[in-house]
Amino acid sequence: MSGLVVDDVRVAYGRTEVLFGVSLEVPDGSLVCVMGRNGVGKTTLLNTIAGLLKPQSGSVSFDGSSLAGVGAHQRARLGLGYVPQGHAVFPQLTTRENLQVVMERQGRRARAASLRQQDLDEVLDLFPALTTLMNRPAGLLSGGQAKQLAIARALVTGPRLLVLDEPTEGIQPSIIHEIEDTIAKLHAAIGMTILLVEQYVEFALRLADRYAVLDAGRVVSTGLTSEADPSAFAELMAV
Amino acid sequence: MTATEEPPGEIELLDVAPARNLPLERVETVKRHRSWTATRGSTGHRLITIGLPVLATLVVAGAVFGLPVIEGRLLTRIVALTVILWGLDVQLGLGGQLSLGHGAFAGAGAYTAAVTMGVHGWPFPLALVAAAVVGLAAGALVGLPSLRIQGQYLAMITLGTAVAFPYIIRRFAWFTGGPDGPRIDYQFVPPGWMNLTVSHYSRWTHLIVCVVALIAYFVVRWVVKGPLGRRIRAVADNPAAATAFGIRVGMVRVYTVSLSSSVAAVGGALLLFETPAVSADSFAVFFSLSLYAAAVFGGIGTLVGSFLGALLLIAAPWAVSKMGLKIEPELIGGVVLVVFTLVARDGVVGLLRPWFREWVDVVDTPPTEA
Ligand SMILES: Nc1ncnc2c1ncn2[C@@H]1O[C@H](COP(=O)(O)OP(=O)(O)OP(=O)(O)O)[C@@H](O)[C@H]1O
Ligand SMILES: [Mg+2]
Repeated sequence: MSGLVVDDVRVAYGRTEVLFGVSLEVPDGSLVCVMGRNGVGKTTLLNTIAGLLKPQSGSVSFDGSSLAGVGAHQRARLGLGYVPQGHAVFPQLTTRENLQVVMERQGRRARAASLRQQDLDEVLDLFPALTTLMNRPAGLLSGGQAKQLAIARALVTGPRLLVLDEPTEGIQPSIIHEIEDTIAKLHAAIGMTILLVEQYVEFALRLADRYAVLDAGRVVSTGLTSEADPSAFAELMAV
Repeated sequence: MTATEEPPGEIELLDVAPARNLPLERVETVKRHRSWTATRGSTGHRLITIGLPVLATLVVAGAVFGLPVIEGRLLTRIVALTVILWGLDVQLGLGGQLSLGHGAFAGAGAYTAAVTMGVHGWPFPLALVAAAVVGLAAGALVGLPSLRIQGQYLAMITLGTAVAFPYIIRRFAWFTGGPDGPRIDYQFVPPGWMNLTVSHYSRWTHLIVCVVALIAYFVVRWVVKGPLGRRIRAVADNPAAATAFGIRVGMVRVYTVSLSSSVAAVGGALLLFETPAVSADSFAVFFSLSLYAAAVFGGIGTLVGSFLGALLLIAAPWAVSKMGLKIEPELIGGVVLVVFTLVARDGVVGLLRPWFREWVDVVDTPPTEA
């Protein structure tokens, strides 16, 4: 199957087990949302997909080939774009440099410089707020601006799979709408495959085709968002 | 944590038409002084970033003609040490990794210059290139373990390098000339129009060292602002995120040590220009630790701080002996390290920066008139 397949993945930090056999499919062109309360292992799952953590057993495969033994930096080059939780921008680098530094790794010699400028412009069209902040160190951006930069940074690499960890966390409603529009646009217009982790249920259900709910390191519920009953989530997500 | 954190006034400030992107603007500000404002990337900002180092070099180069020979030569040493500290700063400030062994890299550069120039009669620019290459290789070798290990273990390895340096020099005495180096047969002879007597030849050497330092400054700046510098800073900022974006963190760390060591080696070679003699013991572990103290004193992460640090290394012992005080220069280094680590993390430059910003404020978009 093309797309991302996570199969029975177990992950532990030292002796503390966090994921107990998680399976998840993100078919090509779909938008899948993973939900769950704090500390159930959502970020752990994404870090495992990104290659930052090694599963103890189980496998992650992308476009039909296993990612076992493929380093995180190589996964990025295979087309995995990751927007980590929080403001994981590079604070010392300016907004422009944050984008440049990842494009330089992705583009290398394969693509002409002019083409990359075009990529950059396309992404900045999605985040007009960033265009006036290009020379500002990213450490000085506000939370919402940093979030937009983090998404833009993943997009300029031209990912085939975009992985987002709680893009609405700590963001004011108007910017949440902007982010929602952007994600919807990416999904609808260019059919980008997206894996989204979210706690904001309405937001997630509006955007995603499919959902999976994680609890205590296990998938406890999955299905199509069109058939989901939002009120049922209240219970699954309750603290 | 929310987007409203940004003060509302700033947003307006960003909407200024580019037509007002004047090189240097005198604007009314809320500050006590009328401060100059330079917009990042504007001609004015470029003038500051290029003009100031050139101006500073001219001042430091010219100063030698107003100093007695001995103090003039100390000034040359300060410039050479500044270059070594720039190298160290690539690792400390840019790469965010502790190093306690840069004295060894400087020593490698000095010995390289001694052998190439002093023994084989290479012209000095070639000797500098050789020192840079040897520094690059030595740094790569020392940095190699950072492919596997992380954190401050690299600092331990650099410390080990500093400890081992004099022994390595002794071990390969057939090549290095041993602890006291080879007999060096090289002199910088000034051109006739300078009208310098033999006892003042060191002034010509000083000018050469200053020019090399200026070139080194621009090379370091160019690398720092370029793709490699961006990667080094990204790795220092957030190694996990850098990895997730396809950056090979381990390799970047090796490049960092390598680049850093190469610059330090050039600085070491410049030390040899000033005094055409080397000794392995002068590049032993204590020298490395003094360099670290000097970097902390000047301010890690600033290229100007390196000059102030170098000044401390030379001027403190000089002043102590001039005043006939009975203080060990080592003590000054130790006290400075402790005091600055405790109360002034950003060194002298950090203390002076607010004052400087009163006069020249660097902003990233043109400001509006208040
Ligand atoms: N580096 C680590 N070392 C040890 N334990 C960790 C580490 N990171 C996370 N954990 C633990 O693993 C569990 C899952 O953490 P994870 O960050 O994946 O949760 P999450 O679902 O993303 O939570 P949140 O919604 O708060 O972001 C938590 O109990 C956490 O304490
Ligand atoms: Mg999380």
